[in-house]
Amino acid sequence: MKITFVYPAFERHADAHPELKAWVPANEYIGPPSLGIACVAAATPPGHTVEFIDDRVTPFNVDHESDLFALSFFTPAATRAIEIADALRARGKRVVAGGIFPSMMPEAVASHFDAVVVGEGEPVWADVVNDAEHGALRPRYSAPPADLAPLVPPQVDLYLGAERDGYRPDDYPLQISRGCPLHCDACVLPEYLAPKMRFHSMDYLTATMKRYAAAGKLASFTEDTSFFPQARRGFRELIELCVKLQGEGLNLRLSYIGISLPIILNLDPTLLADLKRTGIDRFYVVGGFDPVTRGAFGPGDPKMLDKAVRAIARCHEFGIDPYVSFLVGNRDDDEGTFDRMLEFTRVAKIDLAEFCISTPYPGTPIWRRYNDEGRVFDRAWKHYNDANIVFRPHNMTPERLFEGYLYLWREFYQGRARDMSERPHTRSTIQF
Amino acid sequence: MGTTKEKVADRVFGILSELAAIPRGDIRGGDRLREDLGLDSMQNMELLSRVAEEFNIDPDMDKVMKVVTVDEVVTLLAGHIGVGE
Repeated sequence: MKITFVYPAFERHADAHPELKAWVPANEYIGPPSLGIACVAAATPPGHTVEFIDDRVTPFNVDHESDLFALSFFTPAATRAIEIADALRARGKRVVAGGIFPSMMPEAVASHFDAVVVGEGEPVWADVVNDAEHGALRPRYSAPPADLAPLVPPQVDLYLGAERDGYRPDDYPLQISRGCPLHCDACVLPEYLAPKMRFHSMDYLTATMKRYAAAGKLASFTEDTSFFPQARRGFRELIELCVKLQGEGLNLRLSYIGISLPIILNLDPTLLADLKRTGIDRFYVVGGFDPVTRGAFGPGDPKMLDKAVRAIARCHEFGIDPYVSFLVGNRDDDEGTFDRMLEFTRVAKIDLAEFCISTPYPGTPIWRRYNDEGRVFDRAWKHYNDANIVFRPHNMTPERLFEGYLYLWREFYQGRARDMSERPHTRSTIQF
Repeated sequence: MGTTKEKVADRVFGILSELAAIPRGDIRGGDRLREDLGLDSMQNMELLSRVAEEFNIDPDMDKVMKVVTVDEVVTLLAGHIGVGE
């Protein structure tokens, strides 16, 4: 069979609000797709051909020919995914859904697809392909958390092959583990990937890093969980491995690590120094998830604000650039939150940031809570992209939250055009 | 000299003193990490991470999430290392 994987498009901040393009003097970065399709494609049984279409880069043509279409998508892309699936099925094509949104909301997509994969794809993908080959697709395949030990590395060549002029991501993600035992309000991972942490082998990670290096790509670490007790020792070994591979002449370059301010604040200085040794020069920090930034920006707790400032100072001390993603619209946020955030950026000397609206994604604790409280008023999934208000906030109107979101973007970047134009590519490029 | 529960406790008290900014002598085994020492959940994680790294163990996160007091931290880690009094 010929199997076509499709990554459906979704709206980004500047797509939803074009005025941002005038206000933000930064280069727009279109990042790589999430690793889901590359992981599942690698688990395809022998005897089939696979191809990949990134709908963000090359808009999907519904007349495209294939024996089986597999769409992997998260919430912002669900509207477009359903549109593609409906068009394909109108032509009699077989279409399978997988990824975060279908896993969290299978009943919302079931009528648009021949089959829905709930959970991680690898454990059931061979069954899906086999059933499709024999014309016997089942409506739902429920996958247990995958055993990571036997997995082969993700087929990232599919992604590299989809690059075009104007779309050449600098970096691709390296998945170190799956699962998280925490229950953060806005995160879907414990529900989607299960609370128990599982780890990829060093062979798996090495093979993926070597492929990125061969393609001239940087590898990014997106997981805050790498700093947790069960994960830390393995992570330190991975850092040592990176240094060793670099010492052996591999062109392995690392771009950033996803991390939160409380972890930066308390992190063992030797680990910070080791991270720097690998060439990592950026932390991607999400503010608004954790108790420190929630306390600092919500009620304006001076102790928490001081902690947040000290965490950023620590990044600067170690020569690591903190790129902060501010999440606004949390439970304790009020109309003073916007100016508190801006004041923090000034005091902490943050010079690269993005601003996002807290969004109750299906499967997260706040999705359940806000629905129970009757706060969710918009179920157009394409609006679930951190750039639209889909719920009634606690301490302000939806309109005021939206104005505050735009105000943050405008005020933060006002007067920075010259500074931004003089910076190197990586320090003048953001996703928005 | 091998690892003892006393050594584990010594490191736990040392790191706790640093993270909570409390003199070491003021910390008691029965103190609750959150309520008495003022640690937030990420500081709890960092405490466990550092000691686990030093003693070359990987405590399961399910158990880490359940510790409440300083003594429970020491007992959890000592249990992983397999040391007694």
